[in-house]
Amino acid sequence: MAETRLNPQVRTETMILHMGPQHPSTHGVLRVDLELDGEVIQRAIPYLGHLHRGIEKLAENKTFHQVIPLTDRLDYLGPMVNNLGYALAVERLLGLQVPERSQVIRVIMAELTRIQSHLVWMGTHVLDIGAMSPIMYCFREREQILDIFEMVAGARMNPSYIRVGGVNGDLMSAARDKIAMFAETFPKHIKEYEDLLTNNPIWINRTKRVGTITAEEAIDLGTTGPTLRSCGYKWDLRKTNPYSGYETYQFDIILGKNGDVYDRYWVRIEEMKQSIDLIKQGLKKLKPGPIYADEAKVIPPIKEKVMTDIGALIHHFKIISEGFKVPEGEVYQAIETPRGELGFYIVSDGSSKPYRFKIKTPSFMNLMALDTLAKGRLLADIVAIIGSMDIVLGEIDK
Amino acid sequence: MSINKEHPAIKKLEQAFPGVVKKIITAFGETGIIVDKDDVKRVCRLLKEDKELRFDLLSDLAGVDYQGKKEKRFELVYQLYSTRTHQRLRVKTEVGENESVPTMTTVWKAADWPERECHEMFGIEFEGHPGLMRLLTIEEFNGFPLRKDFPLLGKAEIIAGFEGGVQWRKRD
Repeated sequence: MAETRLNPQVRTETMILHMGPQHPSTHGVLRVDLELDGEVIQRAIPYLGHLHRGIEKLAENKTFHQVIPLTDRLDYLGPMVNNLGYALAVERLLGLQVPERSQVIRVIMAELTRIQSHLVWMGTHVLDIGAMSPIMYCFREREQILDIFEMVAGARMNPSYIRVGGVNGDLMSAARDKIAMFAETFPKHIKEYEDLLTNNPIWINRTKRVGTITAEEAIDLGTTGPTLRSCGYKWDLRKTNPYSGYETYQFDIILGKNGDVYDRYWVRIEEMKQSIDLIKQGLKKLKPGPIYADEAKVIPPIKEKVMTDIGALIHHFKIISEGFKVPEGEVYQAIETPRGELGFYIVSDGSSKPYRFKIKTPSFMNLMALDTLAKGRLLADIVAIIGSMDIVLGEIDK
Repeated sequence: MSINKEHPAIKKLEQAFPGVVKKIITAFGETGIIVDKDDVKRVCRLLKEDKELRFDLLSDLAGVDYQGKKEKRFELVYQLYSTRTHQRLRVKTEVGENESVPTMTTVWKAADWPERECHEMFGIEFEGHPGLMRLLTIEEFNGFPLRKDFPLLGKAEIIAGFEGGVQWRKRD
C-alpha cells in the first residue's frame, strides 16, 4: 500500500485506540484495545476485571444456602437461571428429588428470564447501532416480567427465588394469571419489534455479514448459546442434556445460518417466541403439589411451624446458622442460559461450605471470540459485534 | 452416563496409550479420569481429534487447591464436552507447587483465558501459553487469591493510586 500514498513523508503505522471502560456500548465496564489500520480493526484485545468481586472466593467462605444471592449477582440480567444452575448442582450432590410442581415453576421462571434478558439485549444492542425506539418497547415489556418476578419472588432484580430443593414460595393463582396474560399479549409485541427491524434496510446493512464466525471456530473458542447456534450448529443443552424436565416439552433448536450479527439477532427473536410457547406448555403442566423436596436435613421447616413449634424453631435455626452438610464429591452441572452454557463445578469436602466453587460463565468464553469476530471489520462495526454477543460483565469478571 | 471402563473414551485411551489413565472416578453420573501432567496434552489431543469421541468443546478449566490434603498441592480440572455424543468427561491432573503444566491453547483456543485466570488465582505456570498475564486482578496485585492460605479479606489494601502504580497498606 505504501506506493499509493499521496505524500511519502506521512508515516503509516497502526494506531491503538482505547475503547472503554466507560463506554456506553460495552454494556458494563469492559475495556477493549483496538489496533487500527486506518479504520480497519487489526486486533481487538479485551481487558477484564473492572467488576471483579471474587465471587468464587466469597462462595467458598459461605454456606451452601448463603451462596444463592451471590449467584444472582453474576449475570444480573438472568438471575433466575443462575439460581437454577446452582440449585441443580447442589441437588445432584445431595441426591435430592425436586417435586414436579417446583420443576415446572423453575422452567417457567427460566423462560421468563430468557425473554427478559433478550429484551434488554435487543433494546441496548439496537440503540448502540442507532435505532432509538425499540428500547422503549423492550423495556415496556420487560417491566411486565419484572412485575411478575416481584409478585412471585418479592424482588425484581435479584430474586434468589430458586433454592436448593425447590423454590421459595408457591406460584399464586394471581401470578399465574398474569403470566398467562403476558404469554397471550407478548407475541404481538415481538411483531412490533420485527416490524421495526427485521426487514429494515438500514438494520440489514449494519448487521448482515458483519462479525461472521464459522461453527468450527466458534466451538474451538468455547462459544456457546445463541452465538454458536447462529452459525448453524445444532446444540442446545435444554435438548441434548435436559434438566428440570425439559425433556417433556415440545420445542426445536433454533438455528441461524451465516453466524453474523443479523443471525444472532434472528436467533434471539425466535428464541423469545419459543420461550412463550414453553411457558404456555408449562402453565398447562402446573398441577397442585408440594414445592419443596421432602428432606428435613436440607429444607428448613415452614414459617408457620417455626413460629408455633419449639422443635421446628431449633431445626430452622440449625439449618440457617450452621448450614446443611453436603456429601463429599464433585459435580459439574451445566444449563442453557440466555447467553450459553453456564456451568457450576462444585467440590464438596463433606462440610456445609463448598470446598471449591468454580463458575463457568458463558459471556466469559463468548467474549474470547471478539478478536476473531472483529478482525478486518471497520471501527463502527465493533459496537455492533460487542452488542450482538450479549455479554454481561457481571458474569465475565465474577 | 456410562460407568467405569465402559465409557468409550477411557477404552480408546487405554488402547492408544496403555497405562495413561491413573484412576477413574465415577460419581453422581459423571466420569473423571486422572492422568499425569506430562500426559495431559496427548490425552486431550486424542480426545479432541478422535472422530468418534470428538470432545471438541472445552467447557471449563478449574484449578483446585488441596493444601495439606493431598500429596501434590493443586489439581487442574478440564471439563470436556463432546458436541457429537453429548457426553461429558472430566480430565484431572495433579500439579505440585512451583510446577508447570503444558498449555492447552494449542489444542483448544478456548483454553486461553481460563489458563490465565488459573495462573493468576493459583500461581500455576502454563508452559507455552502465548500471553500469561493477569486477567481479572490488577497488574500490581500480590499473591494468589484462590489459594486456601490467602485470607478472605486479602493481605493488603490499596490506599492510593497514582500514575504508574498503586500504594498498598498491609492488613493486620
